[in-house]
Amino acid sequence: MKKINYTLAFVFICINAFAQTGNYAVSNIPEAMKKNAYSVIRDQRIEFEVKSVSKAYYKVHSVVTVLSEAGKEELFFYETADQFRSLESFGIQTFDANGKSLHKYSGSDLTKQATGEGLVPDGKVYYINTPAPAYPITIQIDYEVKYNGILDYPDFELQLPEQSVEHAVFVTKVPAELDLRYKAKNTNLAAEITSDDKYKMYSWSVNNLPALEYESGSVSRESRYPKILVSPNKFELDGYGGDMSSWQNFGKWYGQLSKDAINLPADRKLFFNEMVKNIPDKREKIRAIYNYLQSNFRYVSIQLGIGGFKPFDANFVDKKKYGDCKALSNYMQACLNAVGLKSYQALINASYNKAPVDPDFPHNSFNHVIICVPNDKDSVWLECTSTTTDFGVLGNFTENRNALLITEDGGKLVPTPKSRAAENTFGCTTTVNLKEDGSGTATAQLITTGEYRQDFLQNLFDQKRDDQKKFIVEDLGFLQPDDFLVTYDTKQNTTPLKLELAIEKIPEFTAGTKQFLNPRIYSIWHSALPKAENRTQDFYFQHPFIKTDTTIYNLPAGFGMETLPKPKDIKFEYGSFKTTYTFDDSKKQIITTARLELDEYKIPAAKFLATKQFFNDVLAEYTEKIVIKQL
Amino acid sequence: MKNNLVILLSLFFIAGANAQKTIPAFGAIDKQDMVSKDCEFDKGATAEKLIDWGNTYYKKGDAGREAFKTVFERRTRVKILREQGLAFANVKIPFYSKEDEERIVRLNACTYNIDSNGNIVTAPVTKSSIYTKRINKKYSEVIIAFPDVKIGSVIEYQYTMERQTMGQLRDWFFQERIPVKYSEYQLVIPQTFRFSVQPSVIDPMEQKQKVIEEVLTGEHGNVNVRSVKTNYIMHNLPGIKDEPYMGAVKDYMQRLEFQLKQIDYGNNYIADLRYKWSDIIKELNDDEDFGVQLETEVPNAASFVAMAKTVADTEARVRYIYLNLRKMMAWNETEAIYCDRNINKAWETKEGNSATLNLLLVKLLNDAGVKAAPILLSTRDNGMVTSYYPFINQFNTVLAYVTFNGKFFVLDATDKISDYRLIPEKIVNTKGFIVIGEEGQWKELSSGRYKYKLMTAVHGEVDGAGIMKGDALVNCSDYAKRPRCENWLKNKDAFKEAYFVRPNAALKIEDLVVNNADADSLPLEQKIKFSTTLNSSGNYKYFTVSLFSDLDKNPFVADERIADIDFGVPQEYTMFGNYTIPEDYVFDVLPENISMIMPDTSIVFSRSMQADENSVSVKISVEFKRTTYPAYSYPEIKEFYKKLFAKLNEQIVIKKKST
Repeated sequence: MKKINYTLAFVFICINAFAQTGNYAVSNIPEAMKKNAYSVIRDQRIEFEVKSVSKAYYKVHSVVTVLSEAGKEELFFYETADQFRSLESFGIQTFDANGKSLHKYSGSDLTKQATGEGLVPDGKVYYINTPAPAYPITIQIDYEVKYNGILDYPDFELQLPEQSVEHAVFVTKVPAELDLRYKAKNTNLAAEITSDDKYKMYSWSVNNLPALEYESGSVSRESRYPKILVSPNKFELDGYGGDMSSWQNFGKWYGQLSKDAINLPADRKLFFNEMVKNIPDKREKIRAIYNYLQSNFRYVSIQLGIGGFKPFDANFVDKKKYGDCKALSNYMQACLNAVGLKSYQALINASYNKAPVDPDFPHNSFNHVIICVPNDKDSVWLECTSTTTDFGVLGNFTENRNALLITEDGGKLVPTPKSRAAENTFGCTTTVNLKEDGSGTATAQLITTGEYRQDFLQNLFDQKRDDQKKFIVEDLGFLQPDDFLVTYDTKQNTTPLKLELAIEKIPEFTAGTKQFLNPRIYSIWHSALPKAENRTQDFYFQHPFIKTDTTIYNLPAGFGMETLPKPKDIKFEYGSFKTTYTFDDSKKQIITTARLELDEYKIPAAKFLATKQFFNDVLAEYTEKIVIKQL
Repeated sequence: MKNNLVILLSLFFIAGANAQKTIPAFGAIDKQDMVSKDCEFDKGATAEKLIDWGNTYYKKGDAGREAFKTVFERRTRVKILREQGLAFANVKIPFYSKEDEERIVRLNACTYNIDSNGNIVTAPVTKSSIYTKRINKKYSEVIIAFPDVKIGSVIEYQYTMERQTMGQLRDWFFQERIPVKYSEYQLVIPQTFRFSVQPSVIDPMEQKQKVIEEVLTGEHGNVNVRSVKTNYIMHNLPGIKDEPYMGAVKDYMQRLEFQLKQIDYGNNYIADLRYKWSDIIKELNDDEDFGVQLETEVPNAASFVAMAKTVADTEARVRYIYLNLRKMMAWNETEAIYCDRNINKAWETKEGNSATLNLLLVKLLNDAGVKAAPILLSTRDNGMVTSYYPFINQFNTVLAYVTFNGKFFVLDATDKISDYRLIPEKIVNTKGFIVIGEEGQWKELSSGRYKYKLMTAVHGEVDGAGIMKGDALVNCSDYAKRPRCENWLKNKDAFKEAYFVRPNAALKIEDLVVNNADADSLPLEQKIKFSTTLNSSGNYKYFTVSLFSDLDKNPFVADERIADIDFGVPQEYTMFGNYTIPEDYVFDVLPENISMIMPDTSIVFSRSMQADENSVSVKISVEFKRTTYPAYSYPEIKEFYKKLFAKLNEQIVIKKKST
């Protein structure tokens, strides 16, 4: 039966090739492939051929049907080029829903633009946004890229979210003596391997892969969907040959790029020695130098050198007082070196939801550099691009990952620390003086650490008044003040903050002489989590945390309490929420307390439903009202 | 020669001395500026331009080019006040590099800091920190990375740009995103050239003018000329930030624009280059990418036009052509006043920019016997236009203007959704210039009787356990239709999430049916089934009556506002509700029946509720009749909005009967 189908299909293709129509008609897409799909890969063939350690070709033939505007990104072709990578050929053809040819585009239709938000030319980009008169539309893209120096072999990404695959093939051809390594991620797809006397061929082929739903808050996109990771054994970039078959060897290669960059001049070495000479403690010495870096240097995005790997040397950074992550980390290392402290640069993949790199598969997926200072069991990790980050704290950008330390003996993969709930705390105590007409004043005292403190440093303190107001109302969720005063002390570790607010209407609403008050005048938690049914991906919060609150309402004269919400004590596997509400008749005071704790920032998919329920309960608590009434 | 040089020098000396009085020389940094921590007239600014000085003068042209060229000098001094202001130390100077039309010939830059002894330390920008980068075929930019910049630093740069043009002067923006303390633009223009100046200025602007003798040196000797030197100066201009409903940011930046109007060749021969609107019409008609297109035949559209002609009623014919054309064409998301391809080619490839698609529309309408003409417009985010200065660059798009039997329509072939009778949202409440006849014609485009119209009807039943089950109808008509419809067609899940799930976290949306997405003249009808557990406290339960209304967040919370408020179109929200409660509950005090009205009657809110024992019916309406308010009326608007949102937030409270 199958065989017959194949023959039929072949004949069909032949006919249509002549007739120039029909083959890509949307009606030919099986219903199962349309389910949950914004686009369908109809036919795709990707060939990657390695010619030598530094030369390779990447050739793509891809036919994709975009079913609705939501899949529009498939119509956008974008290809970067630089000294190691050039676009050799390019063509696009579009087809309407019936498979009738609409239009062709060639290389001359591409827009060429210099790239890099950085301060120097990094390369260029070619792009075209193919317009769609109507959906569905089918786009056929053919292009070829030539590598002249290559470090990262292209991975084979089987599908995007909301994209199904009718048929796709990925073929690689590599000289037998070089060979390559591969690893399947989020799929069991096996390679078909053949060889002749010169080359080894690997091919992966998929048919009828249904679309996957997009789940927000998941691990970063590159770790989320089925793909085949491909990595070289030996490689060469800009004449620098290297070996990726082990972390150790890859680290050696990276190390040699910056070996001459630790070149602080003698007078500056002296300067740093003077700086720390009266500080006995090693950690404090590091802190002094780090503080100096934070207050005198700034981050700029400069992707100089080979493909963004080779840093500006320390001497340059010292003179200019700026650098990118590589250059600032290299500089920090040079300064520590000058005072006799050993440190390592560490390559890492940064962003709160990145998965740690796979220790068993050396592959370059790093995009950032930090510093690690070994210190017995308590290594000090330094983020060198931020002027506000606390000393020795990595934060959600790089924590809980595998970093590649660049040591004298080459690369060494080590875990970065993981922050605990107790390191990200938000504490608020508010006194509200309520008036008969619902207006009043409030004073909130806040103490924060970790990510909350960083948020305040970057978005609240020292901002324009209207921006502060926006932050207080929209980010912290306070009632909208008619007047306010912000005072704070950034010298203390917890940056105590006092908010004095005048509010015209404190109750959520009034009914007759009754006032319906919220448990507190800001929401301790205000985002609903995404859909939880049938979740397959782990969910990433920004960080674990502890939030505590005490709110004191001083009632207006002549008012009494009518109803208080029931206290809560909710727990789930990764956190807890506890509230109390009391009324002190003698003082005419209502006191509410709340404590919300999340212990893990990464929630396994199977536990997400319970997590969402927990946070829904937290949200529901804020809708419960304290009812007070004029007596 | 020598003589001339002396005059030249002394002139420069005088000019220098004059400048000295007002602004300090390059590198002469005021210590006060070094120690200041904030901008005095714009507290909390991230950076402040202390000095922004520009100067344009003429030089004799290079061989093989025009007779004159212009030189643009600029000097800018910036104080970095806050962390986010550090970005202003990465300066980019774009210039038109195609055929060397513009060249940067001199550049100087320094960073200034203050050391622990209170001395000013200067760090010059070395060559290694200056890059020239080619952006695309036409433009390049010079990038300066200032060394040693931290909060508190002052940076300064000056450059000279040679421009191969004698008739185009650079616009001068006094005001920007960051505050500007002192801004001066000097022009030294030989009397041969006469420009009209279009100032967009509200605050006081100092203007000085005098006639000077100068010598223009060039390859083939010198020329003595009389020139007019003009200086425009403004002080203490706060930074412009984005504000809700502000229209185009550019409209709030005080600036000067120039246009060459005459060249005086002497001997009483004056070439009048002053543009009249009729000149623009003529040029457009002759332009290959504009008027010529309307003369081009579109042979392959003949059968389409023939089909259209069979529709007898003119309005029906217009609608037929418009709806069919917009359905088949793909807009490449570029607004333009000139076609990016021939319209007959566009008919084949079914794509193009806004000019191409709309000129094709005009052409097809004309071919089908309907009177249509192109209308030049500036989209709402591009800024206002003026009919006073015939200046074509102020427009950024072209649409089709159709008129018959005393009716008119403005059609946009790039819009696949809107009712053809609506003035397109992107240009509503602006004015356009119709390319018609010899003089053209201006047309004010208000929304007329059409509004942003949203109606909700909610029916809810509360059971003994405090669960409300209900259904609702949400109708979005006229201007309210397009944004929702667009999102619905794009992504149905995201639509549900954005309009129904996210704004009502406590609600469970059990079913959603959307109708009329394809019917251009009917409202987008959204039918919802929902359930929710009522909030409660002790014996009380309560629920909101403004569900699905779209009015869930007050946009006017900022204390200050610089921009006028521009809603574009009037708005009308109507909410009907009908709720029943269980037998063992009674209504507590219901929200009062009230109406609130702005003193100028432009916003009207009214709410009425009628309850019997176990059910209540609600009608709330909010009408925004005016589309624009000047910035000075902001406090009043803000106050009204605050009250309005407080009222909308009021809930119906029910109480368990005491047994």
